Parts: sequence; structure tokens; C-alpha cells
Amino acid sequence: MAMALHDATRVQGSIPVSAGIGLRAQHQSELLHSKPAVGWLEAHSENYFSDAGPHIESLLRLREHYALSLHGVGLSLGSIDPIDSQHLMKLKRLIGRTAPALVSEHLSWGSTEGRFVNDLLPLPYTQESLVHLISRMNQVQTILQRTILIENISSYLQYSHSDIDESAFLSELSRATGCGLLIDINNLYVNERNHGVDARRFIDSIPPAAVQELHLAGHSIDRIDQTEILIDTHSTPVCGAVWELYGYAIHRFGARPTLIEWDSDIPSLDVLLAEARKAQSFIGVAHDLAA
Amino acid sequence: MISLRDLQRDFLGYALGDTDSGERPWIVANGLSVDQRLQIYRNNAVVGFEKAMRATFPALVRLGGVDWFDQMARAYQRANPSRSGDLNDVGGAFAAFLSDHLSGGEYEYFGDVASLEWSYQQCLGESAVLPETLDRLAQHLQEDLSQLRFQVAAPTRAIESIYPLFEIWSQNGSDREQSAAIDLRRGASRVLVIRRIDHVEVREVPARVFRLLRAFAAGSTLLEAATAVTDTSFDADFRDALTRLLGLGVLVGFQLTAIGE
Repeated sequence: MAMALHDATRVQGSIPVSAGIGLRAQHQSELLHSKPAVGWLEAHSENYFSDAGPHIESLLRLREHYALSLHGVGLSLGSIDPIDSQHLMKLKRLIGRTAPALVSEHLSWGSTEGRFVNDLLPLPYTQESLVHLISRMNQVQTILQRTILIENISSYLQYSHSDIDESAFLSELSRATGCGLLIDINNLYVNERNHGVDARRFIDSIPPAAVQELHLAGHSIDRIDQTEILIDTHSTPVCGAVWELYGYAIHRFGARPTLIEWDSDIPSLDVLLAEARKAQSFIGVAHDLAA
Repeated sequence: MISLRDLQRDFLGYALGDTDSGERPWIVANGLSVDQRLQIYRNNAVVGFEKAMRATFPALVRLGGVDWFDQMARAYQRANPSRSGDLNDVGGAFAAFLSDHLSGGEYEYFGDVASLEWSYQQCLGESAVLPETLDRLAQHLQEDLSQLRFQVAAPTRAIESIYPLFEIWSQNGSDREQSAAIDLRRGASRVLVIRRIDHVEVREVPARVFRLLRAFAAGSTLLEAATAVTDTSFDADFRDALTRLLGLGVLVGFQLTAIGE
């Protein structure tokens, strides 16, 4: 039965500083049945916009047992088009139904003149983009009546006229709007390999207080002619280099809620939980060091 | 320096296949050409769209095969690029697209299958509407019921095909091991998609039940609906169709006065 709107406010709470996993349709029944020990769940917002159906009904039942983060991919925050008000209202309604502790989107765009590619396209890091994103973020947070997190993306190209470092861009966006930051460690690693952007320098440049969530994921390695390029497929285990970078990030930011993000070639729930336990071990060490 | 607006228009145009190679000094090549870098995004746009479409139309994937389906999905994307940040929304015009492209050919019925599959997905995402008790209708049986209008449950969909659509769809569900051969000459099929409390029901109904439902959904009065179903009003066929329709639980309310009163 759907959670009544008035019920949503009583369970809002916060995301525990622990490891969580992405909620995938194929794991919903097993999660409901066995309720494994995992810190929290993250759901792709767009998959739960419907009034009814097995997925939203499962999410509402799982919400009774797990803290929840909603992670969107379709708001196209960086687009020059006006914000899609229908999309935003659906997100707002979902937030009302599920009382998530965190809501996030991406520093990206995916539409123009009413056409969408449903991908996370990179922005140039310029003053024009920054002013635009500040305005958009303020608009979205006003309508949603809450702050959201914004995530750094992986990219396969850079713009020659970008004159602000990505870390400085995100830091200023956070400062100007109060939005939080979701730092995707795999995306930092992919960009370091694809563009030579120093991932550790990025981490060092981000104000720790702004970081409210971390993502860990896998990637694939392709070759185009003789050039190797990493593709952010979210289809493999987290690789050793990304675990190492995560350790560096945790040392800099402190323990943070950390999500294991696996979106394609989905493995068994046990595999996701094993990755989450590994992340949890890093968080445990960070807690110990902070004590 | 290129404006953000012009950059986005150009980039998206490339990703959707509007434009190809050209001078783009605002993109850094760095080992790969600018075209090769943009091609990654074009590929992502296509692959993501195909994946979403396959999830929405599983029976069509089985009927036509993955290669055929993906080819149709790509053509559909070129003609009808996504208008939403939600990939679950992209299939709405696919039935009409297939009907246009396959009309008169051997696979003409694929458009009807798409219509049924899309209806199923839409219905699944809507809440069931429970019928109000129609007992109070009994209080009015001595009155003139010619202006009676029934309210059809909003999630209900009705699809009519000259082909045996219900059998085609049933035999090609994702729970089937392999597609069964179906004689397409078996005749027309009228299918209702009904949202129940905890599932979506797909069922075939007789022609007069289908026409009656369609008439009520269009706002017809009882009298208008009766004449739509049969040559003479309120004959046995009409009473039988109305009884069956009431039994399906898709008539969820009624109104006795004329609209506007």
C-alpha cells in the first residue's frame, strides 16, 4: 500500500555514514525477503515516477526498512532549455512519498530545444556555465524546498575554452547555492586516465564540509585506434586504483556515506553486498582515525 | 568563443545524428579526433534508447528478433527523439511509427502489438480505480435511464486489431520459452488492459462488449451506447454485453443527469 503523504515526514532522518547499494529491480524481491544488513539504498528517481506498479510499491516497502537516497539522471540541470517543470514536479512528488535523506543530480546536461539524448553530457567550465548553474540550482532547490547534491561526471571530451577547474566550479556552485557535493571516485579516475586531470588534486581542492556522499563504481576500457579510453559503464567491480583513490578521498573528507553503484550487467545481490562491505571497511578505518 | 546555447545545439545535433564531422575548435582532440570523441556520445544515445525500448516492448523483441527491433528503435529515435529526461517515456509513438512503416506488409500486425505493450506499461504505472458500489443504481431503475452515463476506470485501455492480437501477445510474453506459430487468419481481436489492485489484466472480449466500453468511454449515454452496439436498442445482445461489462469491474461510477445540468 502506498505510504500516505503525511507518513513521509515522520521517517525522513539521515543517511548513515556507511556503505549503501544501488537498488536494482532484479534485487527488490530478495531485499524485501532477506533484508540484508546494508547501510542504505539509492534509487534512480526516474524509475519511480509512476503512481503505482511493482517497482514503486517495492520501493515504498523497502523504505520502511532502509534509509533512502534518490539519484536522478534526467533533470538536465545544465541545459539552456527551461527546467522541465513536469519532471521536477514528478521528482517533488516522489520526494514527498519516500522521504529520502538525500536527493542528487549531475553536473551535466542532456537536452536542448526540447530533444533529449538521455545521457550525461559535459559542460564547459566557464563563467557563463557557472552563472547558469547557480541560477538553475537555486530554482530547483526552491521548488523542491530542500538542498540537493550535485555529482561530478565522467567525460570523453574537454572544451578548449574551459577556464575554471572542475573542482573550483563545483566548490563555487556549492558555496553560492548551499547545494551539497556527491563525489564519484570512479569518475575522477576515468577523467584522470582520459584527460590527465589529476584526481588527487581535485580531491584536495574540494571543501570537505560540502561533500555529503561518495560513489564507487566500475568502468570498461575500450580502444579507439591506438588510444585507450575508459568508459563509465558501471558494469564491473570497483578496480584497485579506484579503491586506492577512495582511501585518499576518505582520508581528506572523512568518513562519508558511500554508494556501490552498479547499473549494467547487474550481478547477484551478494556481489553488491560484498563490495559494500569492502567500502565499509574503509569507512570503519576513517571512523577509528577520527576518534 | 562559442556560447553555451550554440554549443549545446551543436553537440546534441551530433549525438542525434543531425550533423557529422565539421570544424569544432571548442573541443579538444587530444589523441582522438573530435569526431571520435563525439561518436562516443552518439553511441551512448543510441544504446541507451535501444535498451529502454527493448524493456518496454519485450513481445516485439521476441517476434522480430533483437537485430530487427534495434534497427526499428534507431529509426524511431531519428524520427521521434526523446522529449523527456525519463527514458521510460520514449515508447509512446512507437505503435504509430510501426503501423506507418509496416502497413500493407507481412508484419503489419507489429503496430498493434506495440500498441498493446505500450498500453500495458502505461496501465501498470497507474493506480487501480475501485468501482463505487453500483447498488444505488437500483434506486433509479424505475426512472428514465436513457441519459445514464457510466464512468470507465481511467487506467483501462482498449485495443482492436484485425489480427489475433491477444493470442500473439500471450504467446510471446517474456515468460515463454519460445514463440509459438500463430495463424494470422484467425481473425480480429479486441483486447482490454485493466488495472487491478495488484496486477494488470489483459483479456480478450467479444466485439459488442468492446464497442459498448468504447461508447461509454467516449461519454455516450446508455441509449446512445445501445444503438452503437445493436440495431435495436436494449435487445438481448445489448443486455448481455452490459452484464459482461459490469462483471469486468471497469465501470466505476455513473451519472444520471445530462452533462451540464
